[in-house]
Amino acid sequence: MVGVVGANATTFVKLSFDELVADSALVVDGQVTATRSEQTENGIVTYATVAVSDSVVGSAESTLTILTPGGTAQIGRFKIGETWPGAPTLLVGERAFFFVENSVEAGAYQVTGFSQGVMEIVTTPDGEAMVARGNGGKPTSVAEMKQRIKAAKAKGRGKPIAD
Amino acid sequence: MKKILLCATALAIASPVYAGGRLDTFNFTGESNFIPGLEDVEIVGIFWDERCASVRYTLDTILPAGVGGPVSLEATQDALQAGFDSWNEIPTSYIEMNIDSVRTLNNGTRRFDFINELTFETPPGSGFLASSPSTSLQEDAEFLPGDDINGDGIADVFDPAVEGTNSCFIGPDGRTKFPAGFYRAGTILDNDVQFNNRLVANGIFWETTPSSTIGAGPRGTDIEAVAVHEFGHSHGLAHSLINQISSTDGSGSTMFPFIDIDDIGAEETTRTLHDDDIAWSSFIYPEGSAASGIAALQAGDISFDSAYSIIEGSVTQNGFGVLGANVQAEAVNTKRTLVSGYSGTARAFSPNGVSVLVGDLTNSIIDDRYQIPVPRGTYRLRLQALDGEPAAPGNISITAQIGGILGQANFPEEGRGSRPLETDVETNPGQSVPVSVANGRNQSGIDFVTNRNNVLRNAGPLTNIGTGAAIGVPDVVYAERFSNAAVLAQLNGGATLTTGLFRTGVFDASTVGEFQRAGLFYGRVVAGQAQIDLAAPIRAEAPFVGKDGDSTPFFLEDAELLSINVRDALAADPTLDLFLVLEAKNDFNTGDSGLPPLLGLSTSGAVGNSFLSTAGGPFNTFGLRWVVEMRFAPAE
Repeated sequence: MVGVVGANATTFVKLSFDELVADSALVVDGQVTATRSEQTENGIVTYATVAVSDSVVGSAESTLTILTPGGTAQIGRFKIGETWPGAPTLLVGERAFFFVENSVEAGAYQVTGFSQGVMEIVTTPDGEAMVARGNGGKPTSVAEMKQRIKAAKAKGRGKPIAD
Repeated sequence: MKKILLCATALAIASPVYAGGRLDTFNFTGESNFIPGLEDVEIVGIFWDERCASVRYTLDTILPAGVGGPVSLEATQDALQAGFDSWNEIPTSYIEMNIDSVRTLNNGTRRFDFINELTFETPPGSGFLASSPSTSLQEDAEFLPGDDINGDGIADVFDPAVEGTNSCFIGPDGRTKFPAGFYRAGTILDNDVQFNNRLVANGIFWETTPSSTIGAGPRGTDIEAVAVHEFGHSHGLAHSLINQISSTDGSGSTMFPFIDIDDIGAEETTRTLHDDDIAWSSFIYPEGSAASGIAALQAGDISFDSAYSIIEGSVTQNGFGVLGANVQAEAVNTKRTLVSGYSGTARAFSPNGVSVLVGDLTNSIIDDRYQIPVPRGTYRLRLQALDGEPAAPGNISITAQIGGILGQANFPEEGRGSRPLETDVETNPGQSVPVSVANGRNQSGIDFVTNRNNVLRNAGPLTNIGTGAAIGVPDVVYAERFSNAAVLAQLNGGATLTTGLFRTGVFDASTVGEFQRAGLFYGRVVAGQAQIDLAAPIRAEAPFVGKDGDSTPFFLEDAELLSINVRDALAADPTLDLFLVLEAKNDFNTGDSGLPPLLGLSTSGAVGNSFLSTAGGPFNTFGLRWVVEMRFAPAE
């Protein structure tokens, strides 16, 4: 192996899978159960409550709060929304592996690498839960993905040759 | 001429329905017609209303962190205005954006304050390099004179009869004032572009001339290149999936979500708008679509209708429309990929007017259509999934994200076959029937049905790109074995071998990953070495152009006859296996890194199937696994 790093970045840094895991304080298999938005001095933010079914990396409580930029606010008679390109919009019912890091707000996490840290888990017509991406385009079973995440965590922030 | 203008007007009105190449937001439309007790939420594109399409920005005086100290305010302003001008110079798009003032805002990082702000101030914890958040309406609204839209106690809406104009203007308080009237959901009210100075901690600095950094040391990031990209978001454009325009041009759309900041070529080409960027800005803001005002033709303008047509159709999977399938149009004459767009219009639901939940396949899809604006010409269309390579649904739009949640982000790449052959089982998925369009005339009915595939793959998940063993040596040949038994099981079951798939990549985003040849071969494994007669391919493609950061299909011609022949050969000789082979070029194109195009690797998976030959030597087994797949159309 040579230690040359593929250096892709623009609106955000493109993370390798190992980096995504290493940069995350928690990786959980969970489902969004509720969201609420708040208008702050610097724009709208959304708090998503995630019911954790499995803590793959770290020790999460049974529920997790994830803070994302943007969301919806009712200001007077106007319904206003904020769109952040590349940022995750967490929707109620969404099941995913959530890769999260500490946010500036105590008790709330933020998604690692913007939308890179949300890997949707879908149920196939055969009833199998699969991850459609994050694996070289190859659908992966949830169990296999958990193994991969744990292996990456054990390895640390070793970068592949490229992205 | 008038007829054409009317058509363009109709397009402009209709266009927000389709996700296309657009950023989107929620449109709360009232009591649900599908789920009792909830509200329907349609997903619509965001855009600047024509009355406010001369957009004024204020540059905050916080300076960019440069390698040797702050970048000067003057150089920063020049770079940012140059970024705007790249978009302003599109003759078929009427929107314009300019820096209107330079001042110290002292307003925190950003806010919904009707000041369109350019700033190098970001909140703590920001991991992005730059971002372009837009505040928009999430339901249709009637603005009345004196309305305070953001609740700050300041009137944001004026009476056009009193002011004598029906266009937005900057008030004495430095804030945008909107004319009273009706505004559709998706209307952008405020846009701020933030460039992150905090990444200095990660060794990333701002610069005004692109530079290359390989290895350790500060990494300069070109302000103008990033600005042009972000200003595309300011228009309301989503990320594009075009990262390699042709087999000879490795540059991509400016709106591709990533830029290689260590590759001068990549930064320089990001500064320059691609056909895709120009087409989408023009589609959303069609020049000549009004008889007066900013959308009316003026000196130097070209009407959208005289320059563009629309190719449209549907994308379906298992009878349902697909949200977020990517359709790309490649010009037949130049073989350049000009424009790409996304399929589908989505619906979600809300229990309380704020939070939004996802429905199911039966109630989430409003429309299965895509539209892509293209110049007059003949095109081949390709379809690919947002499977994470090169980008994932969350990187594109809410519509695409809902498609991902519904399991629609995973299907094989294909060309658009002729109508009777465009089904979910195709033995010639690489075929793409040319589609011709004339200016001002739409070409509809260009429909796709996503394919089903059976997949053989020895490798586990992708973990690396390339191996040091293949760098700096000549005549590198990768070979992946697919066992006699595994292939025969597919073929005897009635499946058709249609495609080899190589996961390829380049180090320098502006370069093309060209290989000497891809091929399908018979061979054997004897004493741990593969014996392959490279002079006798069953099928071959030379040269073979790999994608950047994606799986590259090697479509096999005459797949049905091929499958019969392969089946017979393998059945006759159980020692015979099938190999997919990728030969590197010795005289490869290279960018700033000097490194060749490479093949994806995995540290896990079935062992003993991946072989490497260098400098004319034997094919020895390799410790890692090549990320190579063999794909079959299943028996119908």
